[in-house]
Amino acid sequence: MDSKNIIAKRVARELKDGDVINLGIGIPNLVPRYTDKEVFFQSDNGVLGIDGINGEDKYACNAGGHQVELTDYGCFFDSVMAFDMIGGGHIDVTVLGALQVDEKGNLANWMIPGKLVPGMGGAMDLVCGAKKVIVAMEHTSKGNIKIVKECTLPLTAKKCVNLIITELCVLEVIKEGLLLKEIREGVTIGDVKEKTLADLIIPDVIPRFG
Amino acid sequence: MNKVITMDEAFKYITPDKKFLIGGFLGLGGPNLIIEEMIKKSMHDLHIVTADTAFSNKGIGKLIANKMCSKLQVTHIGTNECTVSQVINNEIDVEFVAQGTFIRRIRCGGSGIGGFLTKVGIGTLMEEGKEKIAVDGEEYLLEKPIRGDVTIIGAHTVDKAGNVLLKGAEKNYNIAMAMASDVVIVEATNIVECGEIDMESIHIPFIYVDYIVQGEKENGQ
Repeated sequence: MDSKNIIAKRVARELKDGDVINLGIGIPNLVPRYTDKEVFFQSDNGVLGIDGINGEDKYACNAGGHQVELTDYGCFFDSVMAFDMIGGGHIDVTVLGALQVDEKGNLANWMIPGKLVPGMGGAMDLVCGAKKVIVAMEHTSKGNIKIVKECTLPLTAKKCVNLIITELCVLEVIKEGLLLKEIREGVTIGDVKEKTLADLIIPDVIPRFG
Repeated sequence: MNKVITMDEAFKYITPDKKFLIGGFLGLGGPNLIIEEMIKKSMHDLHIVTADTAFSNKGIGKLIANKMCSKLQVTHIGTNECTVSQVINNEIDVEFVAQGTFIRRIRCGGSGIGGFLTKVGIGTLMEEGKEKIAVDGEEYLLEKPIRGDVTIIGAHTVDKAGNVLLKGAEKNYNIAMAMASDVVIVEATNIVECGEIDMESIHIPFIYVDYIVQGEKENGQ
């Protein structure tokens, strides 16, 4: 299994029956294949009840531009309702990627000034409105460290991240900083520290994930 | 009542001095034939408000690829490399707006609401130039309405009075945008007689729509 699928599989363990979930593009989109829970996928362009991304109806697309299949309780609505749903706390979990995340749970994922300017899309709304915010990303990007003491890129939101899941470990953002909650089989604490600029809180016993 | 006009007639209202609200999400629900016509007419220096700029070879994305836009209020441009490069090279004056804020500002613009308060953007670049207001001890940003001169949207079906049915994910920004400009033009795949759309399935009531243009038909005609 490659890193991206390892991350998606671990993210899936966070989902509970009945959760309403919004997934960002990239790794988060791999999560549905690893869950057997009854969860409801929302897309911020106005779709609920997504059940796969191999649909044939051009009028059924998600925020990533995929044509989606819907469950038999699936439905469509406009963007006002989609974002009232997000802002009003009706989304239980949002899973999205990051350019940087820091030990206070600050998130930067919408621009690198002068270099990369995709825009925030629905990300600012999602991380402010969802009950639980999971960052799912590869631990580093082309050797660049993404988990830092303090974000230097423009923020998506302050103190919004609850959990960071990478191919090396699971970090929980707690009041005191980043708690090393789980570590992948075969990975050492030293491996994680080497690729992380933030300070880590390391408990005596750390469970493993596969 | 018959609001159907020709493409030529529509271009009495679609002129480069206007501020446009253009509907659609990644091209779905966008007024694709009207955009083609804007490209043919080589309109330039356009001020456009749209959620995303689709792809460089699709819908509104082509309009950017042809360098027709100089001012853009938008939430996401990452799917269109032409928009990204024009923004980085300062060829487009861009304002990024968080998507929920974007749609609610338009909703305010179309419904007589003077602005709204949100926590989205607090502690980020979005704060710049905006008033902060505390309500019961919680701090919010004041976000002001967006209106346009002309709204152009795509739709699956419209009756000749202007009642609009939007199919599937085509609803996106189109309902709110149809409320927020002085002139609203709907490009429809299907134009039908009044009474042919089930009244329960009308997403935009006819009074919001000023003109209707025939779009590309489903079978590609």
